[in-house]
Amino acid sequence: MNEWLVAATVLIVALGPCLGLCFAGRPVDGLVALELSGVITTAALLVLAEGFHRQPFVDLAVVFVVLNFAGGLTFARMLERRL
Amino acid sequence: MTRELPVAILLVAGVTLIVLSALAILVMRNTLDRLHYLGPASLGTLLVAIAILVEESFSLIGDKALAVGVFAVLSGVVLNHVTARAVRVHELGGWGIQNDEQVEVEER
Amino acid sequence: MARSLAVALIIWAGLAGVWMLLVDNESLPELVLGAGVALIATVAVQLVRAQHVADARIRSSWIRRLWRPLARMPLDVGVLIVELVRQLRQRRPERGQLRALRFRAVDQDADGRGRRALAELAGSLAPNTIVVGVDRRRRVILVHQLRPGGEGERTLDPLELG
Repeated sequence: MNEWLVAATVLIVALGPCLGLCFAGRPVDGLVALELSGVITTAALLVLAEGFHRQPFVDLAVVFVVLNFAGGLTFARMLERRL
Repeated sequence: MTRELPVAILLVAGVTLIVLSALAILVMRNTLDRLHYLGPASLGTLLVAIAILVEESFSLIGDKALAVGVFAVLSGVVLNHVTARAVRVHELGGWGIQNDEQVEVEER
Repeated sequence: MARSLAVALIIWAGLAGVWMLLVDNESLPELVLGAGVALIATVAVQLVRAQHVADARIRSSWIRRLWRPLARMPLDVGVLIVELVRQLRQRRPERGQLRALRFRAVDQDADGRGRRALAELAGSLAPNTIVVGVDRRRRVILVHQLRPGGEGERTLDPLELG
C-alpha cells in the first residue's frame, strides 16, 4: 500500500455523495452529480495508474475524460428537451 | 527525496479539493450552487496530474496525465456553461431572464 | 486556397501530435499509421467546417486579457471553500445569484459569434462565475455567481468583449 493507493481509496469513497445525489435528487441534480463523478473517476484512474505502476490505466483516464465530456453534453441537451 | 515533498503536497491538495467538492454537492441545496464545485474538482484533477508529472517527469505517463488534467479543466468549463443553461431551460422553460426574475442589468 | 491548405496542415500537425502523445512510439510503421489516421481525421474536420454550421472568428487581440480569469481561478477556489464552510454553519436554500451585464456584440456574423463564444468560455473559467449565456434580444450577458460581488465588467466579462 503506497500513498497513491490511499489517495485512490479516498477518491473512490468521494464517489458516494455523487451516487447519493443521483438516487435522491432531481434529474438536474443527478446531472451535476454525474459530471462530478466523472471528474473524480478520472482522477482516481490517474492515481491508480501511478499506484500500481500500470501505464494502461492512464489510457483509461484519457478515454474516460473525453467520454465524460461527451456524455455530460449529451445529457444536458436531453434535459433541455425535457426527456 | 527532493521530489517527494512537492509530489505529496500536490497530491494532498488535489485530493482535498475533490473531496471538498463532493461534500459541497451534498451540502448545497440549489442546483446552480452545486454546479460551481465542478471547477475546483477539475482543478484538483489537474493538481493530481501535475503530481504524477513531477513524480514521473516528461515520460509517457507524465505527458498523458498532464493532457488529461488540462482537458479536465477545459471540458469542465464548457460543461459548467452548458449544464447551467440546461438547468434553467429544464426548470423555467428558457435560460434567459424570466419576467418574474429581479435581475438588474449592470452597465459598463 | 493557400489559406485553406495552411489551416488543414496545422490541423493535421496537431492531430498527429496527439497521436504521438498517446502512442509514444517512433518506429516507422507507427509514424506512417499516425500520419494516415491524422489525415483521415483532418478530412473529417474540413468536411464539418465546410458545412458552416457555426462560423466564428477569434482574433488574437481578444485573448490578451486571458490572464484575468486565470489569475482569479485560485482566488475563487478559496471563495468556494469559504461558502462551503458558511453553508455548513448555516444552511440556506440558495446562496448564489444571477447577474447581468450589458453586452453589445450581438451581431450574427463570425466576429459576433466569436466574441460571444469566447466571453462565455472565459467568463466561466473562474469557479465562482458560470456564464449562462448571452441574451441577444436583451443585449446582456447573464451569469450565476455563488458569491455575488466584484466589479461587473471585470468579473462577468473579463476579456471585455461586449
